[in-house]
Amino acid sequence: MAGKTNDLLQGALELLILRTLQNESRHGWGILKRIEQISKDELVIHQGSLYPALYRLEKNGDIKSAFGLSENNRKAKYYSLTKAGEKRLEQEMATWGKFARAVGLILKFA
Amino acid sequence: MDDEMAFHLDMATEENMQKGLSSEDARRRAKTDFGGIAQTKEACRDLWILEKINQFWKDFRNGFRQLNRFPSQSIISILSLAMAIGLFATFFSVIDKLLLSGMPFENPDELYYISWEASEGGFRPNISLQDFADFRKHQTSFTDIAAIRGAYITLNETGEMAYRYRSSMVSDNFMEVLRVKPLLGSGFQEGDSYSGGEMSIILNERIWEEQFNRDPDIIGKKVFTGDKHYTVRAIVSNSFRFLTGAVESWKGEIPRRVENMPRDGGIPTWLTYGRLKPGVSVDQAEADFKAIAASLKEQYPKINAGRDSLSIRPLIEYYISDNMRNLLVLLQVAVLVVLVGACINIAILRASQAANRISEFAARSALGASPRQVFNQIIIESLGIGFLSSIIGLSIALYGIRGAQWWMNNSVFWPSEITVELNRSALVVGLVLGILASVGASLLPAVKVYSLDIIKYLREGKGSVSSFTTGHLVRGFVITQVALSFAVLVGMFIMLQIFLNLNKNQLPYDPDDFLTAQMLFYPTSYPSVKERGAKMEEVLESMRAIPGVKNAAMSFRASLSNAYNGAAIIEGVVYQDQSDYPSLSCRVVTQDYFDMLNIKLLEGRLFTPFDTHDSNKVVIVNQAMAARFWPNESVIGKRIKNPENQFADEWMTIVGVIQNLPERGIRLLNTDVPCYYMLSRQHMLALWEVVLECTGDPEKYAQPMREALAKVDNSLGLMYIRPVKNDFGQQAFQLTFVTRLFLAFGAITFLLSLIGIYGLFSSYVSQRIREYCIRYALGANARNIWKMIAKQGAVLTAIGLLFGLVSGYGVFLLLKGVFPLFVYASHFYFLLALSLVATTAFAAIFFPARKAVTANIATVLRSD
Repeated sequence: MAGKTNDLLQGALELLILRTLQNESRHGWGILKRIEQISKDELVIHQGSLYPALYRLEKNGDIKSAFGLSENNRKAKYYSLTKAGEKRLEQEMATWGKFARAVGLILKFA
Repeated sequence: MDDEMAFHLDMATEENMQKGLSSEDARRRAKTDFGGIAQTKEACRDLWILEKINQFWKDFRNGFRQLNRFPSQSIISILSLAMAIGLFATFFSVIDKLLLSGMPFENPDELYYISWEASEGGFRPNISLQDFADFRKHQTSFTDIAAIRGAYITLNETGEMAYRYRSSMVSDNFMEVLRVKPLLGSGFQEGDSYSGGEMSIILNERIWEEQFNRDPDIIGKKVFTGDKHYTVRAIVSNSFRFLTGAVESWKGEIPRRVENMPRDGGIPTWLTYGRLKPGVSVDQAEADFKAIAASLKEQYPKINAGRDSLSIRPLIEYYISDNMRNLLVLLQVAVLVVLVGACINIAILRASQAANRISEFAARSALGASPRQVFNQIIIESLGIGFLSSIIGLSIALYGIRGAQWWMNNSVFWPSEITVELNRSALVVGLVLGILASVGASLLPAVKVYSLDIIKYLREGKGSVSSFTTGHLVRGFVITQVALSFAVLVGMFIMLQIFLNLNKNQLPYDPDDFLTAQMLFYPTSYPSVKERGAKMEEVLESMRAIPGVKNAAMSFRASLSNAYNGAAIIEGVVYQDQSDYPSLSCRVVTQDYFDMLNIKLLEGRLFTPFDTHDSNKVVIVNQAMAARFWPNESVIGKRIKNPENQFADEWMTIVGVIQNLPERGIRLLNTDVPCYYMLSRQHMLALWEVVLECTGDPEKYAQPMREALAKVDNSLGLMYIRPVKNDFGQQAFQLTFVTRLFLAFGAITFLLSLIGIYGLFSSYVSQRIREYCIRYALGANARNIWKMIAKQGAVLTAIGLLFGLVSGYGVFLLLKGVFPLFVYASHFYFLLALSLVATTAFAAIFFPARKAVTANIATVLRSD
């Protein structure tokens, strides 16, 4: 996995999780795979840190969970966004956009 | 969490297998990629716990902030709950000890007191020594039984003056049954009290100090007690007392005495007690003793006639009479009722408070607090109240019990073997009830808030929340509180009256002015009636000469508070048997006895100098005796005999009738005891109670009294010198204690009711404050509002007082039934209680009403 980015900025993981859950509910493994898939395997989440982040988000009221059946008919815990989570995602995306633009500008012109 | 992790690993394994790895390798790879599974679980768990703690702390702070926002309601809730818990725990502890076993002996609840079953007058005869010996030999229910009775010893180890000490005669196992360990020595020894063995004695620290200067080698020494030599076997602490009062020594006399006794007689004077074997019930023990009694009756029909039923009761009942027990049980129930009342009070207050705050909760919900958070906050507020009340209640209980113990320790009347301590189960019951009441009361509003439709509430206002008003409940409870406080006040006044009049209205003299002591003639000293009579007169003269002593007299054996029991034979009445003789009270007194005590002569004459040792025997009777045996005729000249003394065959002529006196202690019941009085110089008796009428504090005449006696005869010691008021106090100690308990209970309950009435009224008014403000807005003025609140308050108070009058009268009748001699109807109590409760109710209405009248309408209506 050399050359792949796996040191996410603090807070970024939570943003990614929220975004992954924006359109459909997923289980932990699903979230992981979705992030890897979209980032073309560039972002590899440290699996051990995914679950504490999910718990944090849940306790914060940003996501909620319910048990359901997975694609291979196994019992799995599915996470989905709450209203508060949707709001937070919106804010965080805006903040992240501003931040990324600012960093891009500095890298380009400084 | 485990399921989730397992699912994750399975998915990862599956993916690795698809990449061509073996199932084992795939699994291993999945685990490696995941990192530390245990650490991840731990991290999630930590997050969860931290979150819970944070949440709780937030709710906790919020809850306390709310308590602080409504300080008066919070203080009222906390204070009344704390007082109720404290009252309950204290009273329950004290009463429980009194009703069960407060004696500082090992497993005191195993100790039982054995006597013959009560005869007609409720008096339970003790056991004769012969019967005791048989019971001890044959019984199987107790580990052992022991016996004790009062006695006296004279000691003059210092060689200066003979001192008389109160003693007891006991069976050789008396300490083993109690499981008491002496300070020094080991108690009676095997074979001590049998013929041929040694006579032995146990002394207390006081005698050890006064007579032996705390000699460390005292054990095994012989002491001379005026008639016999005894070997000292042990020294016990001064606080050790048991059944026979403030006794200072114990002589091992059984079984030696029994060995020397014929089986044809026996005086039932031995207090018998035993330690029940584990697993044996009282009924079994009674059956066991009954069987032995039946065989005794068969063997010795003469002395055991009519005695076939035994009573085996917890030893503590020896101290607390049935009458008192009933009162204490009543008090215990009353205390429980007060606790439950206080809980209901808090419940109503909390419920109405929560109802008033529904807007606040709705607002919090609207601002994003989850229903669970609001629910938690309400519960935590209640828990806070319960918690604070519990701490304060516990302190009240601890101080209350310390106070009760202090009073007992400082009371000469209290049998010091009874001690009290905090009853833990009472405390736990109090705390649990308090917390349950507080939390339970909040549960309904909390559940309401949980299911509250906030949008609807905010749109439609308070009206949308049904069944939230506690108005009826509050009104009902205001009425109950008013009635309760009235009844409690009436009860308190009556108790106060009993307490103040305890000795006063039954005696023609003031017991505070008298000093009394015991004096004993040995059979060898002054052996004729004439000599002894003359010596007694000489002793009295010597005592009258003490500066400050107004008069002196003697009474045989009996102190001023209690005459002794004696039979009488009435001339002209035919008796089948000795047991047919009427059992009465009697005294043998010196000539001046009646004058000194200011006793009123109703008919005939008192004793005169012409009644000498060799003239016809004379006797004086009291009014109750005259009325019982010679109703509607003059008793002067009638004759009676005393079958128990040495002149049993001589008729005594009645020369006078005097007023009735409480000859069996301060009377609780309206029964006058028939009593007759013989003249000292016509009888040959040994043990005398010498009574001095003193100026000022009687206790300061103790030493002069000893010296005056020593001047006449140095071998006659005085013992048990004490103010006469102690004897009456001793008699009435139960009553004094119970009245004090009632007074304390009444005072606290009244205070609780006051707090309750105020709290309820203020909650009632604050629930309606919106209504008042709307009336204001619609044009009513302050006067109208005042009038309206006052009217509502007055109606509730009036209804409460009406119920109060009925229940107060019930309390009066109840107490009158228990203390017929002390309680008399008085409008004064009722008027005083009426005005006190009315004033309180007025104050309770006034402050909330003022708040309502001066409320800022705009603020109230806006906040709504």
